[in-house]
Amino acid sequence: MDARDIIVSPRITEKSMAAALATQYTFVVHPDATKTQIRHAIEEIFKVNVVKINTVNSLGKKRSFARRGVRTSGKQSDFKKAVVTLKPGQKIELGGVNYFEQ
Amino acid sequence: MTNSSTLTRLAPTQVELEISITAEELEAAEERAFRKMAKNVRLPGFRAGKVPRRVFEQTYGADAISSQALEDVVPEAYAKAVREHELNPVDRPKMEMLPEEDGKPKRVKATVEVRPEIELAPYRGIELEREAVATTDDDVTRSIEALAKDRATLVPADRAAQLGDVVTLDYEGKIDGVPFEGGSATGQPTELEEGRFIPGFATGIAGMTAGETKDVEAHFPDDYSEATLAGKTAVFTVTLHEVKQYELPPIDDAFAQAISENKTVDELRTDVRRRLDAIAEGRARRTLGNAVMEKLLAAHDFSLPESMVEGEIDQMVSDVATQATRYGVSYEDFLARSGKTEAELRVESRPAAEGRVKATLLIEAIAQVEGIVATPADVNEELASLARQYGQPPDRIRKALGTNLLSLMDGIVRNKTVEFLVDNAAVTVKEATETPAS
Repeated sequence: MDARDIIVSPRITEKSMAAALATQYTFVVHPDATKTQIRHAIEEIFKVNVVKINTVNSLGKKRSFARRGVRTSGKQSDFKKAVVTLKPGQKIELGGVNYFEQ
Repeated sequence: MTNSSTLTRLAPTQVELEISITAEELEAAEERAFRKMAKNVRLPGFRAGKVPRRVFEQTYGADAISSQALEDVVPEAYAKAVREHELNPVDRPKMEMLPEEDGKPKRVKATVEVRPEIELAPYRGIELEREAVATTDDDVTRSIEALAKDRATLVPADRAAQLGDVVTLDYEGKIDGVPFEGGSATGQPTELEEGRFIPGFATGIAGMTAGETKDVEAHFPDDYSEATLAGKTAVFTVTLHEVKQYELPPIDDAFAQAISENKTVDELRTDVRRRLDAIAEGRARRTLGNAVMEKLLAAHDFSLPESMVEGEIDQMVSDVATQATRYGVSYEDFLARSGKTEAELRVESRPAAEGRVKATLLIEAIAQVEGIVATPADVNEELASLARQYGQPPDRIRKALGTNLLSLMDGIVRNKTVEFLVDNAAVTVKEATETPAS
């Protein structure tokens, strides 16, 4: 798999913004990606040194809908989240844009 | 936090303010604007109000914040500049952003109309003339007779009709032998009074006896309200049926007691005299007030803010419209009838409007110098008098007035100032001419 297929997008939330202060950057990654694959991908794309990776498989919540009296149910998409800890002082920037800048 | 502004006088009543807003000020305002807006923004991943500025700008654009910040900071800076230059604006400013130059603070140009600076001419000791209040015995007698007439009884009179009698008559009016609308009536009881009819009619009837028929010639005045009749001479064929005269009750103590709380005729006379005096005094003071204003207006010359004059003209035109509607004529019809366009009406109203604006400004200036204000007691008194007039409790009047309470206070200040001017005027009393009968 190509590096850019492994890293799907940065994950911008209150929690990830707070973590970025401690050089921990959060990404949505391919569900089948391993920590090793993620490490290589991050290092290739952002030219940084990865110290540690934590991954979480985040399962989508079940949602049910009622439309015209017919109850149907659905599910939010599953995704895999990777929290990447960088070497202190390094940061992640893409095309001059730092998505995690406060 | 400092901002500087420069003042340019474009005209005596118009100024241009150039206000600069420093980068720090703008930054602070942007921060505040962002905090305010972020409160109501919900983005995925963040609770309301917790969105970082960076994310906010990415979603909504940095312009959203800066334009909001300007909206907040400009009026503030404007108000500050107005205080700094001690201006007295009369309307809302016209704002304009000046083109930005790099590294320089943002600048805003505000053009606004202000009150002119009025150099007060001496307003104390203005020489005025007034007529002495002199109520003659005749005046008293006449007004008591008027009171007596209300209680008079009508009795048939077996004599020729005189002015002041009540007669029953038929009449048919013709102009050049042709009957005209409204010119005929039958069995009409009317009081013969010259002023009540067109000239010649009442005097023509006087001298007729009951049962007599006579042609009476009468002349419509040139300014008669019905244009088709104005200036014409009409012949009325009048048949007189009955003559009645007023029989006045005897003016004695019993009469005095019946119409008033006085016990005797003498007391009634003093009472009536006092009232007539008060009326004459009030009228004299009003005349003095008008005279003092007239003199002051003539003694001052300053330019008037155009927007105030325009506002006054608007007011006058809408007054005319209201009045027309009250008489059951639509404003458009009224204009058509008087053969004027609204624009012409506005032009005609201008001198009067200018006079009013000038008087208002002048009175304000004098009131300010003299520290004349509407005290709560004044306001309460005015409210109480309005309450009596409308028969409602003062509290309700106050509520109904709402923000108009301010204009009520303006009115009080106005009246007090005019009173002040009259009190401080050098009034000479002119020899009494006869007071007109009330």
